[in-house]
Amino acid sequence: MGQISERIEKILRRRAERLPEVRAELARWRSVAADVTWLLERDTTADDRLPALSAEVARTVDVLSAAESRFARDQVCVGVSGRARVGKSTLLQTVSGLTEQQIPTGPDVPVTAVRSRIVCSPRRRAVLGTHTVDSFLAEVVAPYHRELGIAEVPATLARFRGWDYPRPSAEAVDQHSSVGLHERLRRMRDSLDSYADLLTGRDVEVDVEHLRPYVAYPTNAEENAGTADRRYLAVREARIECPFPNEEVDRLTLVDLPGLGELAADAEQRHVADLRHGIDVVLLVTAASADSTYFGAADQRTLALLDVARGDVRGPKDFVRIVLNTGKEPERVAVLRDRILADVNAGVDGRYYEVLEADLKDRRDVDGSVLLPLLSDLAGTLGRMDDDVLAAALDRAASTAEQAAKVLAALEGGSRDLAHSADELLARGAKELRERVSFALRGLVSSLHARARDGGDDSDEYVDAVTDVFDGIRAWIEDGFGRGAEAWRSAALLEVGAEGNASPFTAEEMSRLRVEVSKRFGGLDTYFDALLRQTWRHVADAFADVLGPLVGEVEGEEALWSLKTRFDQASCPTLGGAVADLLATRLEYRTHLHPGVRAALDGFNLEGVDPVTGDPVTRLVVGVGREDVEVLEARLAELTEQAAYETMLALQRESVVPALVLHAAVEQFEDELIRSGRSKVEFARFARTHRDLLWPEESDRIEGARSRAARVDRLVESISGAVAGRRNP
Amino acid sequence: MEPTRVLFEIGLLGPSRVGKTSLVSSLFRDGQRLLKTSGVTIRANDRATEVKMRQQARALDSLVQSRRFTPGALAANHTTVSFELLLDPGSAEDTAEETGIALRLLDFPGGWLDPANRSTAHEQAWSEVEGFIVRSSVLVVPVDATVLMEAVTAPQRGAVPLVLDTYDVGQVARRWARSRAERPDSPALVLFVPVKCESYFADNGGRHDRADELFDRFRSVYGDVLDAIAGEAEHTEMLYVPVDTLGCVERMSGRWVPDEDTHLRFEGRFLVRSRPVLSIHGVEDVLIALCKTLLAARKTAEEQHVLATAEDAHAARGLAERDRGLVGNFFRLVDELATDAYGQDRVLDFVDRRTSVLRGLGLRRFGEYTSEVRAADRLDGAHQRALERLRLLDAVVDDFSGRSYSSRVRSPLAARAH
Repeated sequence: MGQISERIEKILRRRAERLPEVRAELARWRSVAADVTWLLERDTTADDRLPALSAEVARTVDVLSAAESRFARDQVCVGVSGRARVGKSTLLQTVSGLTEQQIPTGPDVPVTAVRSRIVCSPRRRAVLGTHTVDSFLAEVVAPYHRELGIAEVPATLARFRGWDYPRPSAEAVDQHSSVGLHERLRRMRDSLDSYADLLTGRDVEVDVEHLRPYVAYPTNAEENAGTADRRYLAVREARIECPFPNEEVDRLTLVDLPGLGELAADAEQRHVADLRHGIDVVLLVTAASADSTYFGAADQRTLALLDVARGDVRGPKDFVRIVLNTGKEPERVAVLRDRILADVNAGVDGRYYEVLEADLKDRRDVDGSVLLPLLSDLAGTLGRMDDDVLAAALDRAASTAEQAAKVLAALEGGSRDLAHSADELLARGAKELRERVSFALRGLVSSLHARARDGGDDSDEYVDAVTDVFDGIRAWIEDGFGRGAEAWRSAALLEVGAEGNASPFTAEEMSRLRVEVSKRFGGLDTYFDALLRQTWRHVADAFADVLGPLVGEVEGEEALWSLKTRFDQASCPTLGGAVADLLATRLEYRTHLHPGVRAALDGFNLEGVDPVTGDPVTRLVVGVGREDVEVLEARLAELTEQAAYETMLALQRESVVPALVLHAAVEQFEDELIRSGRSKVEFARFARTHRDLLWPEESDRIEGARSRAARVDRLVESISGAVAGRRNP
Repeated sequence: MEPTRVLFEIGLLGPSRVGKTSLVSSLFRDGQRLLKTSGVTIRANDRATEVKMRQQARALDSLVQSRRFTPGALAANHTTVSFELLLDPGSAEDTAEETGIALRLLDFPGGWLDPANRSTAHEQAWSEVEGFIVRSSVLVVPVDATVLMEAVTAPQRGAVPLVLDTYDVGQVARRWARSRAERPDSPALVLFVPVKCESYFADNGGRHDRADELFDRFRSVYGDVLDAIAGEAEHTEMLYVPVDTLGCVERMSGRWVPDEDTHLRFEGRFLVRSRPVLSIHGVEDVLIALCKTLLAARKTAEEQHVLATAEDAHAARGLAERDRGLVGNFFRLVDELATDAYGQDRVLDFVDRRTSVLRGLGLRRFGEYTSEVRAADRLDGAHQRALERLRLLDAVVDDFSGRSYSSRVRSPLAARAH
C-alpha cells in the first residue's frame, strides 16, 4: 500500500469512527421530522411557524442524511461528469481497466444509458438494481409524458403497452420539437417485451462480459436494424466490481454521471441530490471538439449544479476538478485551456478550480496527471471536507433546534392546555355519566316505590294473574277435579265402596286437591318471570339513553349482561357486581309468596280442630252410597273452591310483594351503582375505558390533544438533546 | 182509658241489599227463641210485618232443606215497609186495650239515601222516612260484613264506601244525632250491626276468628259516620254489634263485578255448613242494647200510666166520698143502710130498674153514692191488673238490660268497651 493509500485509509477509518455520532443525530432528527410532520398534519391553526419549522427540519434531515451517507462510505467516490463525447467513459475505462463491453463509448451518439458505479474490488462482477413496474412507470415513462404535456400516466404495463403515441401532423408545427420524445416513447413501448420481465425491483447479478445491453443504448447500427432489445430501461443503476490496475486506488469507486446540463430540470435536481449523498469529489471532463473550443454554456451550467451539489463543502475547488482531455483535438487544447483559464478561473490558474490535463486514453498519463494528483489532494482535503460537512450539519441541527424550541414552546403550552382540557373533559364526562345514570335510575326506583306503595298497573296485572289461576281452579273443580265429573264419581264410588268407609278416600282426595291447588298457584311463576324480565328491561332502558353505544342493539337481560361485561372490561368490580346482583334477583311463588299464603290451605283437611273447644273434629262425613258420593263431590267442590278462594285472597293481599321485591332489588342496584364508596372512582375508570364509544367525537379530540402533547413533549426532549449536544460537543 | 202499649220507633239506616230485612227477621226469629220462657212473646203486630216475616221464614226453611243458599234471592224493597214487632206480655181479659212494647222499624229502598237516585215522586215518602228516622231514639245501621272483608285490592277497597254508601248514611246519621242533641234527657243509641258475619267469627261454627280485622275495617270505613254522630250528640251511645243472620252458612268464594253506580260490587258464593241448622248469633246483644235503652223510656211511660190509673181511682173515691149537702148526705146514709141490708149489687140493680119511678117520687139521688163507690172500686182493680202485666214486661226488660254483652260487642270509639 502506498503512502496515498494509507492516508486515505486513515481518513476512511476516521469516517467510520464518526459514523455512530452522525447516525444518532440523524435518527434524532428523523424522529423530530416525523413528529413535526405528524403535528403539521393535525394542525388546524393558521400559524405558519409550524410549516416553516417542518421545512427547516426536513432540510436538517437532508443535510444529516448526506453526512451520514458520506461517513458511511468505505470508499472514496469520484464522480465523472461532463458533456457527451468528451471522454468520460474513456476515463472510466482507463482507470478501471474495463473494456467497451462494460463501459461502451461511441464517437457519435450517446451510449451510456444507465448510471454505473465502478467499484475497485478483488471480485469481478456486475450487480444491476432494477426498477419495479411502478418505479419504471413513475420514473422512466412519466417524465416523458410530462414533457409531452400528456396529463395521464399509464398505471399498468398493459396500459402502457396499448398507449397510443401519435406522430404530430405536418401542420402541427409547435409539436415538431417533440417528435424525438414521441419516437423514444414509442420505441420504449414497442420493446416492452425485452425488459418487462426484469421489472422486479430486485438486484440482478450478470456476467461482466455481457453487461453492455443492460447499461448502453443500442448502437446506431442496431437502431437502424430495428432492434427491440432495450433491457437498460429496466435498470436503475449498475454496480460493477473489478480490480483496478493502479494499486494506489484500492479504495476507489468511480461513478459514471450522466451529462449534467443536458437533463430535464427535475432530473438534474435528483442527480444533484444524488451527488451530495454519494460523491466525494467530481471530475468534470471536458475536451475540445472539432467545432468548439469553448468551455461552453453546458459546462458552465454543470459547474453551477456541482456548486449546489457541493453542499457544505466549503471550497468549490476541493469538490470539483476540471479534467481537460488532451487526447481529443490536440491542436485545439491550448485554446480550450485558455478559455478555461479566462472563463472559469478568471485568468488565475487554479483560482477557483484545479485543471488537470491528460490524454484520457493513456493510462500512464491518466495515472500521473489525474488520478494520483487527485488522490494526493484528497488525502489532504477529504478530511477537511468531512469536517466541513459534519460541522455544517451539526450547526444546522443546532440552529433548527433553537428555532424549534421557540415554536414548540408555544405549541407545548397549547397542547398542554388541550391535554388538561382533555382530562377535565373526561372527568366532567364521567361525572355527568354517573349523574345521568343516577337520574334515570332514580326515576325508575321512584316509580317502583310508588307501585310498591300504591299498587298500580303491576298490582292490577298481578291480581288479574292470581284471579286467572283461581278461575282455572274453578273450571278444574267443575271438571271433576280434572278427571271428568262422571269419572270422578265412578272412581270415588268404587273406592269408597271397597273400603266400606268414605273417610280414607276423602282424606286422600283432600290431600290431592290441596296439593293441586297449591301447585296451580305455583303457575304464577310464569307471570313473575315476565315481571322480572320487564323490570330488567326497564333498567336497561334507563341505561339506553346514557350508555346506548356500549350496549348496542340488545335489550333487557342481554343488555344488562353486556353492560356487566363493559364494567368488567373497565375493571369496575363494584359496578359489575351491582349488575350481577340485579340479574341474580329471583321472584318466585314458592320463595316469596307461598310461605305467606300457605295458611289458607291449612284447614283443607278431613280432620281439624274446633277453634272454640280445641277438640278434634271431622269436617266431612258421608256414607258410602251413590247419593253420598254425590254429596261428597259437592262438599269437596265447595271446600276446594273455598280453599282456593282463600288462597287467592291471601295472594291478592300480598299484591305488593312482587313490587316490593323488585323495588328492593332495583334500589339496591342503584345503591351499589351510585352510592357505594367506589362508585365515583369506577365511573371515572369506566368512562376512561369506553370513551371512544361514549363520546366518539370528544374522544378523538381528547386523543388528539393527548397525542399532540406527547409528541410535543418528545420533540422538546429530542430538541433539547440536540441543542445540549451541540453546546457540549 | 189510654192504651198501655209503648211504641218504640227504631230507625233503620242502610243502603239497598245490605240486609235490613234479614236483620229484622233475625230479630223476630231469634227474639222468639230468647223470650221462650219469659211469659212475654214477640210477634208481628201488623199484617205487613206478618207477611214479611213469613216470607223470610219460608226462605230460611228452604235453605235448611236444600242446603243451597243464594244471597239476595228476595227482591229488594221498592217502597217503604214498616215492621212492627210487639213484645207482648199478653192482653187484659177485661179490657180491649193493647199492652206491651211495640218495636217499629221502617225499612225503605236503600237507593233513596242518595238524592241523585231519588225521584221527585219519592221525595214525600223519603221525607216521612227521614222524619221517622230522626225522631227515633234508636238508630240501627246494618253493615254488610262481606263487603268489608272481601275487598282486598285497591279498586275493591275503593268501592267499599260506595257500596255501603257511607257518605249518605253519615248525612242522615248526622241529622239524627242533631235531633237527639235537642233532647239530651232522652236516650240516644246507635247500633252498628255487621250482618253476614258467619265467616269471620269462630264462636258460631266458623273456623277462623277474624273479628279484629272486621272491627278494624268497620272503623276505617265508617270513621266519618262515627265522627259525625259523636260530633253532633255527645251523649249518644254507639255500639258495634255483629250478627250472624243465619249462622249455618259461610262464604265460599266471591267476585267483584262491575257496577254502574259503585264501579264494583261484591257477589258472594256461600256454602251451607255440614250441620244445616239456623244458628242466629248476636240478636241477644241487640235486644240487650234495646232493653237497656227501653228501660228508662219504658219505665217512665209505664209509671206515668200506673200513676194515672191510681189517680183515676183516687178521684173516683174522692168523688164518692165528697160532701153532698144535706139532701145528698141524707141519700148517702140511705144508700149505706140499703147496701148493708141488701148488698151493693141488689141496690144498684134496683136503682137501674126503678130509675124513672124513683125520679117520679123525688128520690133521684137514691143510689148515686153506691154507683160512685162501685166505679172507684173498679178502677182500683184495673190498676192492680195493669201492674201485674207490667211486672212481666219489667222482668223481661230488667232481665235483658241486666245481661252482659257477648264478646263480639264493642264500642266503636274505644278499642273494646264491653
